[in-house]
Amino acid sequence: MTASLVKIGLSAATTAFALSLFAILAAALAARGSRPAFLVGARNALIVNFALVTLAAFTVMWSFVVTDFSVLYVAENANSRLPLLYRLTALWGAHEGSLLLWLWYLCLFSAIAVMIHWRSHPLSMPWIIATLAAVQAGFIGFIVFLSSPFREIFPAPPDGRDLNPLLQDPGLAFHPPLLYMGYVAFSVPFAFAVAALIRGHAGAEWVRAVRRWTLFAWAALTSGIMLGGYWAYYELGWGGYWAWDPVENASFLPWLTGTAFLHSIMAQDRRNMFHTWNVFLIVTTFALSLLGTFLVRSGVLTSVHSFAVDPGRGTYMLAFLAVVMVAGYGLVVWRAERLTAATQLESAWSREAMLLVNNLFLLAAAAVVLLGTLYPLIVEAVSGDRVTVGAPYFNKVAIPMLVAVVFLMGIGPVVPWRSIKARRLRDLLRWPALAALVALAVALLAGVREAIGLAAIGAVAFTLSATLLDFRRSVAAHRAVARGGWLSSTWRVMRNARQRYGGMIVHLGILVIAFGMLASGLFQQTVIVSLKPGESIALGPYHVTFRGVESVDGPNYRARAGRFDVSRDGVPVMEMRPEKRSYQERQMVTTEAAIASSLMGDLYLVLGDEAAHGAATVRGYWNPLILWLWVGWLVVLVGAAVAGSARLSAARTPAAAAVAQEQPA
Amino acid sequence: MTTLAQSQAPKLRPWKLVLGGIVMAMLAVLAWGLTRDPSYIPSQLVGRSVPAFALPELNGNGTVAADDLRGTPLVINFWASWCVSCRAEHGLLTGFGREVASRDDVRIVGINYRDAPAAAARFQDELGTFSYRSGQDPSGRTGIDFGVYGLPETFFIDRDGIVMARHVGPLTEAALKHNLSLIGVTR
Repeated sequence: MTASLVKIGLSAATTAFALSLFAILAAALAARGSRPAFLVGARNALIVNFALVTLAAFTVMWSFVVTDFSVLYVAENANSRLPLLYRLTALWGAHEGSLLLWLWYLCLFSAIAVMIHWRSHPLSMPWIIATLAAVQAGFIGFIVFLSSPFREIFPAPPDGRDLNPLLQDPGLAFHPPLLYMGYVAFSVPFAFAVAALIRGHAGAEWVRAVRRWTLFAWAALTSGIMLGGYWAYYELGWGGYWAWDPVENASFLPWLTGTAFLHSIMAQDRRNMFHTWNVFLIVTTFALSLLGTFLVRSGVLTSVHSFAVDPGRGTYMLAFLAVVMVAGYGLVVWRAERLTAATQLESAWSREAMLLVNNLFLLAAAAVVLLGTLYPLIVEAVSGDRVTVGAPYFNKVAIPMLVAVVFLMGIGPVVPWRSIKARRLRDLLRWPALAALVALAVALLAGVREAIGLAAIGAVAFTLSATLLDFRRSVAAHRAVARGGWLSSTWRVMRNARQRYGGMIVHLGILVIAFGMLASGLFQQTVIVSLKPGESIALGPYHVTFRGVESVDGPNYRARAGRFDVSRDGVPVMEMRPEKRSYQERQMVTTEAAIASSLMGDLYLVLGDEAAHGAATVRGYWNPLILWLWVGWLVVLVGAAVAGSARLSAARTPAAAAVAQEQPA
Repeated sequence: MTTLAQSQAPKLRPWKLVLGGIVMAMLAVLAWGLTRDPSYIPSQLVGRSVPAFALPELNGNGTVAADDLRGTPLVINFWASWCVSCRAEHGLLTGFGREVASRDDVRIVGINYRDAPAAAARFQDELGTFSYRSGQDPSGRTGIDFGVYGLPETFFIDRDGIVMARHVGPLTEAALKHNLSLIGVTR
């Protein structure tokens, strides 16, 4: 019965493949001959595709729910004892299902995009639909012909191989869907950019349309990356959250260029400049999203699932990436002359110049991270040597650029568009500069000697004070006119300029994250010691005394639990019990670190091996202020939501429309 | 109007050449990467000590432990009954196992990864019995220590207990010979 279910899924996907081909053709014909019926047909095909792919994904998910091991993908990634939650998330536990999830997002966003922009962008619509349909065709073709999650095996094995144990964790279960949501949401701005390029009319309209899509994609990507870091920190127990692994880099690359794009489209919106640059950035961001999928899923770099690579799959993905890159960049190159900006930079001290510099730093950071990620391949191609590029390289080359970006975050928003007088700029930045100096002095006194750490501390202090002062100035100006209280004025200022202050809140969130990274990175304390009962160690502000190890029985496990009394300034504050558990049913040993989190820092204890006379090895970390990373993430999300809720002010629209009309269509 | 059209005609500019060059170079590197044999994956483990393990033996008597295997070059093969590619290397491994039994300069053990003893026994009944011992790793815990991604995987460890090579995917005669030479064993 259920065996026929994935057959339905396969038929649905195959139909969707045919429909996506039809949509490309119909949309292209509609663009050539402006025949609206064809365009309506193409649009409806994309909407039907969403239903079809949803059905296809559902058949696989249902096969997991009922643990139908006659489906190969289920047999390889589930087990009858796997809890329902992980049977559901196992859908994206391996290659085939991940791509199905990718495709599902693509169809969802395509359907939403054609519905909400249908009326507002009639001239670009054929090309938007053709682009989205072409990307869909590329992915559905892959899933149907080369990487099918619908394949069956006969006879069905009695039980499945189970989900990779590393993925059996809530943090990691929801990390891929968020990351993919971010990757895929960039396809809509990409489709708008392609349409703008083909029409040779990259005016303000496409920038308006993609602003929210870009914000959404950016927020999802940010969340995916942060959730990955959260999982690494709380579950892996090595006290860190980011390792510059190729897979992590793959998600960071589109984040960097997407962040650049999010900023530079403001210059096009407000000042009608950077047209070519913007289309270049979005093509790059989408290409990097695809590259991320390609790197993680093809085994080109040392990564997961390499042995399962069917050479056909890698070739197909590379060909697909090549088509997207050649078509995207080809259009940029071919149409660049039509996109010449209407205005030029007037001054090196202007918002637009600052945005340009910010973009250059972000892009340079992306370039060095990309180079570091692909470097092992390049070296092997040239000399045959195998090398790995580790964290020291990335920390050395990428971190300084990111510090520079943080510093620019302080200057950019306070500098007005067009130009500012040097004297006025000095006045604006006097206090932030002073704050940076004070922070530097404090850091030097605290014993920080690393140049890059000091620079980062200065940059964070500078930008934090500049951002807060900017809030204060706006509210004070509002009060001078409206005579409200501080709170009501702040509320009004924020509400009236949600785009700007949403962005400023995001900046604050990023600063909070940077603050947490700096503090935990520079002041982390680590000890690995063998302790006898009664002995104690000092970690951060705490005094940790080992009391011994005892046996504890849980519902489905037996554990050895260490008892530690934690005191602060001689006053007992808590007891911590890191455990080593052995789960009988799964015959699995897990290490349960004991973590006492507070805004001041995390005390993190791991119980190691036991020795004679009740002694045990103990790993302890004091990670100061690390909780602020996740607090900052929430602030970023709030800021993105505020910025996304803004409608672009009506006052600007006629002017922008007038500019757009001046350009030949 | 003509001047406008001319000003909009595509022109060859330096940045276009650079952009085109970078795109082509990147695609070329990735294409080359695909042609590589993914079996030779650099492992984090290579150059380090073999992770400690002490696993109950598959047949139920005794323990297969890393500490007992020190001092002689060692081959560790991760396998499972559900692993299709393991069937491809089975003949080579059983043959090599018989050969190793008669020499004292190299040893081999298997690790039965995330499998059930009954299924593993059926697998050996069907394809031939290993002439060496296998430890049971039903939870995959030891596999995680070794960084096992997918089966089969084979690790080559020298007499000092340092991992010298990791082979991902079914072993071939040539790969076995090459990797054995890395731990000072000739075949």
